[in-house]
Amino acid sequence: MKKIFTVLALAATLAATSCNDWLDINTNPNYISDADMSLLLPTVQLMTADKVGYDITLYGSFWAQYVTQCSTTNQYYTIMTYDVTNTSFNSPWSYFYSSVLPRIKEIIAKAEEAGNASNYILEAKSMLVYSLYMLTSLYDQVAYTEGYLTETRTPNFDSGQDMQKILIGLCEEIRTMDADAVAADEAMNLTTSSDMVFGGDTEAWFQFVNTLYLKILLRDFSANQSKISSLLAEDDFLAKDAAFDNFLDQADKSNPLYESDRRQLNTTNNIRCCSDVLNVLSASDPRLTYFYDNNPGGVVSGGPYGTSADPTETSRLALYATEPVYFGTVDEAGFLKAEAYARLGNAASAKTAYEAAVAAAFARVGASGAASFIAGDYAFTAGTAEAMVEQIINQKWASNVHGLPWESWFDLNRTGYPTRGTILTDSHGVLSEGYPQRFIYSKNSADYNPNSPTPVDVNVKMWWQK
Amino acid sequence: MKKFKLLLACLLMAVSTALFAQNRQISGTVTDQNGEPVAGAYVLVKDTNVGATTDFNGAFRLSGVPASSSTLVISFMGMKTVEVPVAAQVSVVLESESEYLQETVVTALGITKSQKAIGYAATTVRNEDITASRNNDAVSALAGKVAGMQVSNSSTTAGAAQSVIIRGVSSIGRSNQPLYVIDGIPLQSVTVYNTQSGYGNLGAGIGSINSDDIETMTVLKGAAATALYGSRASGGVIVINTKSGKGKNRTQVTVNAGVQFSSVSTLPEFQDKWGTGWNGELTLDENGSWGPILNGQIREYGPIVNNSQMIKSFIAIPNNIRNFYETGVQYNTSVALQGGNETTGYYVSYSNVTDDGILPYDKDTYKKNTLSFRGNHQAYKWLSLESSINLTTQATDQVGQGSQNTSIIEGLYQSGRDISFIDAKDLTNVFNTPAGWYTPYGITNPYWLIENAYNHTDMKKVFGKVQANITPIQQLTLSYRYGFDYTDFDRKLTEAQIALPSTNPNASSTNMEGTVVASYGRYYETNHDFLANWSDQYVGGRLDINATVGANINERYSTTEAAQVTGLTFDTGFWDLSNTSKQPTASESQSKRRGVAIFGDFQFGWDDQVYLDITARNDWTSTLPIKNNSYFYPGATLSWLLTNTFDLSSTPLSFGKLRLAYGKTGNDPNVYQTTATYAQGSSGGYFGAGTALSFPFGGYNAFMKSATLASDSLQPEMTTEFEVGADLRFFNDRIGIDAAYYDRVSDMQIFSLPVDPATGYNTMVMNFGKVSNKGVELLLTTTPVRTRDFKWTVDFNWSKNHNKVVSLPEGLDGGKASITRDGWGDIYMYAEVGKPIGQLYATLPVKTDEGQFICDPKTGLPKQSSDLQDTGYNVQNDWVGGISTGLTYKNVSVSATLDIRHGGKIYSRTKSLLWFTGNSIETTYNERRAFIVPNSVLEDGNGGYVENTVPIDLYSGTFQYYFDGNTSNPIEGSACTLIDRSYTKLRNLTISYTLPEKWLKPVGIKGATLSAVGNNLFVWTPSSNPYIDPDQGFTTDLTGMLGEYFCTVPCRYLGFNVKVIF
Repeated sequence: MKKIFTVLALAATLAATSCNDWLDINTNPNYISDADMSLLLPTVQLMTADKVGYDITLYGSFWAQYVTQCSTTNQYYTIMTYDVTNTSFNSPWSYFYSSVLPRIKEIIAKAEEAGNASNYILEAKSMLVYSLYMLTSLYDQVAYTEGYLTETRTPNFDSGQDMQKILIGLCEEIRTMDADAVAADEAMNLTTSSDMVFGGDTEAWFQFVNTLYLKILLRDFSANQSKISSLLAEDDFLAKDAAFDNFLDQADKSNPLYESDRRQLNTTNNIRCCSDVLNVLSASDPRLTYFYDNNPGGVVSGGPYGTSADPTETSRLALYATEPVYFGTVDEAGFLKAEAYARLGNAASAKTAYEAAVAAAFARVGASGAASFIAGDYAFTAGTAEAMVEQIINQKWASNVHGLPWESWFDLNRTGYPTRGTILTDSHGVLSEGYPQRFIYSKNSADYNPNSPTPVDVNVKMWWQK
Repeated sequence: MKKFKLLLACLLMAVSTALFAQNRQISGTVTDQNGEPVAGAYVLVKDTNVGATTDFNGAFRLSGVPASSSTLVISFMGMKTVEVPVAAQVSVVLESESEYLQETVVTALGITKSQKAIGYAATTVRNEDITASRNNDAVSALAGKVAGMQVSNSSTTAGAAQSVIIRGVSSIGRSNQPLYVIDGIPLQSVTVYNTQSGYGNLGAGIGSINSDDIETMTVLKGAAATALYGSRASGGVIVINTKSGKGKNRTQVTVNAGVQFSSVSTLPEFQDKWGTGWNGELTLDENGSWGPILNGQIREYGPIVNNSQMIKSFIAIPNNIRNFYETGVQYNTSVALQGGNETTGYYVSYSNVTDDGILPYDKDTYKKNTLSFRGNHQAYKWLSLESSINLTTQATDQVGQGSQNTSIIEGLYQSGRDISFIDAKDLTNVFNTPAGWYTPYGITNPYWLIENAYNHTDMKKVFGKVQANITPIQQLTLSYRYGFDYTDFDRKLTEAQIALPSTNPNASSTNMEGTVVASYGRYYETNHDFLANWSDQYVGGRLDINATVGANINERYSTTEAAQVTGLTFDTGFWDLSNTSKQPTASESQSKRRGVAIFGDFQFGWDDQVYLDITARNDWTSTLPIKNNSYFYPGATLSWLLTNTFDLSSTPLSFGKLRLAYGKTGNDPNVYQTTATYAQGSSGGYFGAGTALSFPFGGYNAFMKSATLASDSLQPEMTTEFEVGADLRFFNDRIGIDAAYYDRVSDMQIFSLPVDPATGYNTMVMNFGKVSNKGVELLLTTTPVRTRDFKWTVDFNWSKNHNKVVSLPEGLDGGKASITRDGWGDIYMYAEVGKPIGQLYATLPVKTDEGQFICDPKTGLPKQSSDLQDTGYNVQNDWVGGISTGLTYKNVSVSATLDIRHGGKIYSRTKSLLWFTGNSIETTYNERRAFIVPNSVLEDGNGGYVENTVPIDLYSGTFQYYFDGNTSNPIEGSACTLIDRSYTKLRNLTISYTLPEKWLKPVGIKGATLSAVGNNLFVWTPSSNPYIDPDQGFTTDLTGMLGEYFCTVPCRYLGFNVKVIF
């Protein structure tokens, strides 16, 4: 009898075990369970390029007043008139947080665990600073210390001022990395096949961070004056564009704004030239025809901002399937240097940097003849710090029609240049007063996180804005 | 056919040879208690095959009665069966019996139970009621007939998937569809969803079944009834019992053939006063009727092509859209052969449905073929075998009804009221092609779209079973059943390329890259069931015990693959993946799930009065975390037959039963929600669809972790239901009331809960939230007239479900979870605590404390809230009901079904579009003259208000914005696109005539019925809905309840049918 029980018990155990084995199939065959850091870095860069190159470029282009909405279509009418709600800005928020930042965190953790991968740490941390810089520039308060780091379900947000400190801290942390060790790690652990921005050029990554650092410091010039001075003395800024330059002329593979506006939308007429740009650039500037298509009359012309433009009279914004998305440019670095020197009262260095920047801006879009414009229409005039800053920012603004249009919107809010009412059309859209200063906190955040900040209107200034 | 006849002849000869060996003759009559003759009663010589039916006079004649026989058995439905001794002349009086006591219900796992023993609501619909309307799918025939059950269409195109919701929506994130079980085997409900908008979802589930094969369909609603079916039964179970040759010893061939003609039943009401143009001005290339009053002048219109331009009169063409549609034809044919002897039975059937819909030409067609074989064999006294195999093929051709360029319905609804379509048939005329079509605004000639459409789907389904039953001793039956279902689809969805040169004014909005999408899916399911049944009587026959224990092993697998190319080399007509110079994209997906279950069902019956049924099931499933993959759910029901306990024969109550039930059903998660995964990197598309950028990318490949946080502590959803009911029949069953009250709570809903992306995830999988459904179901059956020649029945059913979200997790904004939103306006559907699932949110106009609209001083239009607000509306109906009636006079019968739904709101893109285009009758408000928005004010700038003096007018465009559902300016905000969901629909009307036997007998026909059928004959909607038949959604289940994106035009079917039995 005992034997039978033993046998039965054994059989039951066996059946239960084999049954559980038979049921243990809930591993998704369509996906892999882990991915190496070399397979995560391209995701970080592509997703960043997608959001920067689509949503942020689109809002930047309108709110910097480079473009205006076509009168016969109305795709971006609400953007042009600042008629935005908290649903308007879900996408950058959710992509940066759910796609970009967690991957950066993973890369850093995996690189630290693997060892000899400081090059990955450099690249990932640089992308982290860039992402956080973009987020806080757009939304002000950002979940960082309690958000992406802890995976709490209801993170509290860090204030804009605190983010400034965090960003400065992160930049300085990167700058203290041993460049030789990083270069040695890169030699052992190539990122050429996963770094879609610099192809494993670690020196360029340090320069990217330095440029970003200068940009962040300039948000509060008086507080950071000494750091700015020593950074200028180092003079190790971007020598080549930080560009995501991997686009092809194919569906799902091309420049995001081109893909959306020209390939996917049912009309390609939406984005028209705003005439404001002609108040800064000479009509003969060769970059104009790169920036905009000719109108039906064969010239570049635009309409006033905030008013729907007639497509039979105005130019369309030119878009190119393979145009890179820039995270930083050589001309931006030059303009930043020029502004810093101008604010420090060093007119000569400001002029040198300004002229190099204008030349780089021409070169970036393949335009020639910069020298004659620098000597002529765009000549730098020494003056008060403020007057020099105005010249620099105006020219920087005009250079970024293609490039970093959102930076022009940031600069407009930070410096007030180009001046509304004179150079720029003064348009309040649907706002009772003011202009767009920020993105509204994402509905996805407001709906699901009780610690999401109190809603702030689009026209409320951030701490660094004038 | 020739072979059939030969077979028939052989079988007939065999039967008649047997008859000649007999000799004795018996004749007699059968009457009821009132002395009326009973026609159609069956008289059988006990323990033989010899039998006959009574004629209209109740008379019968039997010959060849074996000398050894001594007893006759006389039976008739609804009467008590009697046995009388054999005599040369007999007269028999049959007493009527409550029909109900004889009814049986096929319940869980193919077990047949007597209706009286069942302690829960179960509605059975029989073959005659399913097939009379000649619908191509069986489930449509149930619409309006079963209390508490809602049948809806995802599209009116033939072959479209049905959505069936029983006793309300219980699950926010999972399926609410019932499980279909055919002869004990679960049927895979494969729905082929559409990646492109505007094509109805196609179903290879219940729609694959030949309705003529069905003997009965039983709708099991409550958790107590469905628990034994396991996880998929939480949305109810529809048990289908098919015909078999069992118990019959006559060979019978049934031919059922019909034709139905379909035509447009309802179209929106259009205005016919204003013509093409915008802002009140004549611009004859506009996609709308905001132009001047139609004055009959001859005008040129459209683009100039080759130095010529079209001209036409500026007059309304009221039926321009109706005239575009044609009459569709549907043929429906089935042949069935059944027969057998005492030990073997068989049933073979073939059916064919061919439908060419109402669009011109034959690009909207549906073809279905089914072939079924069922057999049973009593091999030994202790062993019986059963098998069934069924094969279905469905082929569907569709034309896009979706958005913009490829949409027929947009092409029609966005055109001015003066545009004629039937004149645009000739595609050799450049003005009838995209290059010369009169408008550049993204729509084109519907005839051109039809000509260039190719969207073909083939679906196959093979399902069946093999079953062995062993009866070692009389009380015990051991069964093993192997069930299988293989379903697949192969589909091609295409879009022609339109590549007009940029100089063509139509180029920018009409050009399309062209696509070819080739995809397939393969699905299989296998089930092994082991059952042991013990059935015996104790205590001198007073205690009935019927106990079943069993086990089930289940595996389900699917694999799908899709490849796509864009940018076609040949613009149209060549639908192959090689038709491009660009790189194709491809994707694939597999999933597999397994489950093991043991279950038991113990039924105790006392003295034919009280029945207690206890059920329990334990599941182990692969989709739960492996360490915690087991869940258990019990149930119990009680049924008390009042009329068997008390002698109530002196009261009007002829039958009475009270029911009580309590049960649970678990619902396990979808596959692969318990572990983290990495997918190839990609970002979401720009308009909520597809991808924007995806790897591989310029030689790089990359992966990303899912933005959904998997849960390693998932539990199954658990539905608990309590139900009471009564079934009362009065006046010899002339009046019957079946009432049920249920209280169902679905707890621990599995949901991918959205979280603040700042957490690093967009969603987290978790168990949360409780949904309650409480409701009443009433079924009133009446027979106002029942005489020898004339019978009239009227049945009413009514149900009201009160659905409420009881709880959702804390931290969810305002206690609500987003379900879905519309694609154009600003309508969002939520599950919100304290409200029914499907609460609708919109942007609403801003009002003063006095309720006046605050208008914009520039436009005069009411300002809108920037945030979404509760409209107070919900997608769910307040109540649903149905009336069905049947009239039989001698050989003629008439039946009709009315389906009624009341309350609730539906999002209508059709309304939004017809407002936008100025084609709706409502856009003629105030004769389109300028007016000041009534009851409105302007802000005075000091926090106060002044009277609004800014009129809105046609010429500045503000009048249009007032009616623009797209930009949310009307006084109802974006809620203007929500319309009343109520309707009353005459689902079906059938008139049939059964040919007299005396005509048929000489030609060897056993029975013949001719009928005229009409389906979806009329739909009545409230006056606030002159737009659509609200009986549709853009997809199935809960998300589909939001509304229609582009409703396919509803059809009315009228036709004839012939049914002949040989």
